[in-house]
Amino acid sequence: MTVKKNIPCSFYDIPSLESWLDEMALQGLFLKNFSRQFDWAVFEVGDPRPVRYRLDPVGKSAGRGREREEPYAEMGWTFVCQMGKSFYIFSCGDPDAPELYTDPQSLALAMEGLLRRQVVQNICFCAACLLVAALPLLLYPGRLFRNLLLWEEPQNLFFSAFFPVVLIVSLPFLALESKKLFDMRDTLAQGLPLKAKKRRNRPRFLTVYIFTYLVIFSVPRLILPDVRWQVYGLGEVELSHPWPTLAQLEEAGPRPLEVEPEVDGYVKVNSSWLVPVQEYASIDWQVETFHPETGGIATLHRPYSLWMGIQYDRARSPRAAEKAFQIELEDAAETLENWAKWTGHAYHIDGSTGLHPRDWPGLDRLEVAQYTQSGQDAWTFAALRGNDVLVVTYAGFARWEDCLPLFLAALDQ
Amino acid sequence: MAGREKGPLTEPMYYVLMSFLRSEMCGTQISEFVDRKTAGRVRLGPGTLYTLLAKFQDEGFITETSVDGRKRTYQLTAKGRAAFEEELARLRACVNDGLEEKQ
Repeated sequence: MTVKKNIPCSFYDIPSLESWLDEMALQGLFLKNFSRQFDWAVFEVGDPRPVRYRLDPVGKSAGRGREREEPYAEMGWTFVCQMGKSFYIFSCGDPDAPELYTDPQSLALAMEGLLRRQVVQNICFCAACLLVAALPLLLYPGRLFRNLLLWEEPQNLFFSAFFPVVLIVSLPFLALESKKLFDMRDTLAQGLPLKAKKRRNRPRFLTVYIFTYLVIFSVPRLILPDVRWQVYGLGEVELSHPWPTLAQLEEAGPRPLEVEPEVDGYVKVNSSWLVPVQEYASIDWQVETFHPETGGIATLHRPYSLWMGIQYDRARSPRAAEKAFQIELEDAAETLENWAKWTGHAYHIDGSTGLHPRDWPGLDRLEVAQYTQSGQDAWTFAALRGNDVLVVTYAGFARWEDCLPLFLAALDQ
Repeated sequence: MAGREKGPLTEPMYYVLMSFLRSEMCGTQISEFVDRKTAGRVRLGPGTLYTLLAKFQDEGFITETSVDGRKRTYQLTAKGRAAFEEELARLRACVNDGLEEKQ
């Protein structure tokens, strides 16, 4: 019959572990093995008798230690089990047999391998944390920077910061644990015996530890949104500026519309500390309408494709605006590249000039691309002015040179 | 100097090195030798004994001469003998100092 018991002290507290195992033997519980993962020791039940249990530090190589089983047995000490890669445990029921380590200095020597391994393990842990922490920086530096600036994916940002925080929090604990081992070695090297530390309630400690870990890991998932952009229908949310309508844009071109067309679309809004206003409006000349009376969808006639997308960011400073502009510019370039690849799709574009810098009075930067979409002339411009970033994509008859002043006028309001 | 640079030998170290002066030895023979020589005053536990043997082997004080199953036999090297001589001289000086002051 076996019994499991939680280990009441640190795995490196040699005298406490030894005295606890000795006490267990006096209660008729004889150590069978340790489970570091589950933090318990398994005992075989028998008749109580005095048995000494002693810890032998694992040396430079585990094999070298196991070679000692036989000579140890000749001197009265039987191998019981191994505690991870830290200690072998030997037991002795002969009260006349000498102690496993008869002088503290030799135990100090035996601990050298353990100390080295502990230091290497700690360094490896720190290196692994650093690597995991640096991975987002190495693999997706742009995405991380974008997230910091625009605060689009807070969960992603949290988990990017998680490992550096774990490393920073763990370092003092690791240093303390290593220091304890070195102190133990130094005490023994001076010929002094080790003192047993106070036993503690490890199960409670583990419960608190696991609970804290779960909270740290799960609460951000509950309270932080995956993506912060909020999507609304057109008219459901007030836009930051009175942007020109499709009819106003067409009025600047060769085919002015007589009436304001019915439009369809959506608005996305977001905010961050560095860029407090982020909005995107997609406005399309409506082609379908819903009839509440009949419950049917009717197709509306439109003589040509007319559509615009307005991305507007207002940053806290011109420097932040410049960074936001760069991000929006890259987004626009990527969108154009994708559209060019989507052959057969309604968004497919041909003959793109790519985004090229242009000069415009009053603007810090301006880049314009021209292309055709579904046979319709179209363009995209990205403008930076002070703290404002404006990217407009348009398919219609008006030229970008005629439309840009309308947007700048709206920006002034 | 071929001796030990890391300070004086501990008592178990001194007796373990001493055990090799006349012949090659295996672990149990060393333990018996030390027990007999010190009339039971110095006892070597298996952990102490095999840790010291490993340490002396690493430092080149002893070398393995034969392996018979799990039984390993060692002999003293010139470096080990020098370390022992050095320690002996240190202890002799200590004792002489004490005796001189006592008179």
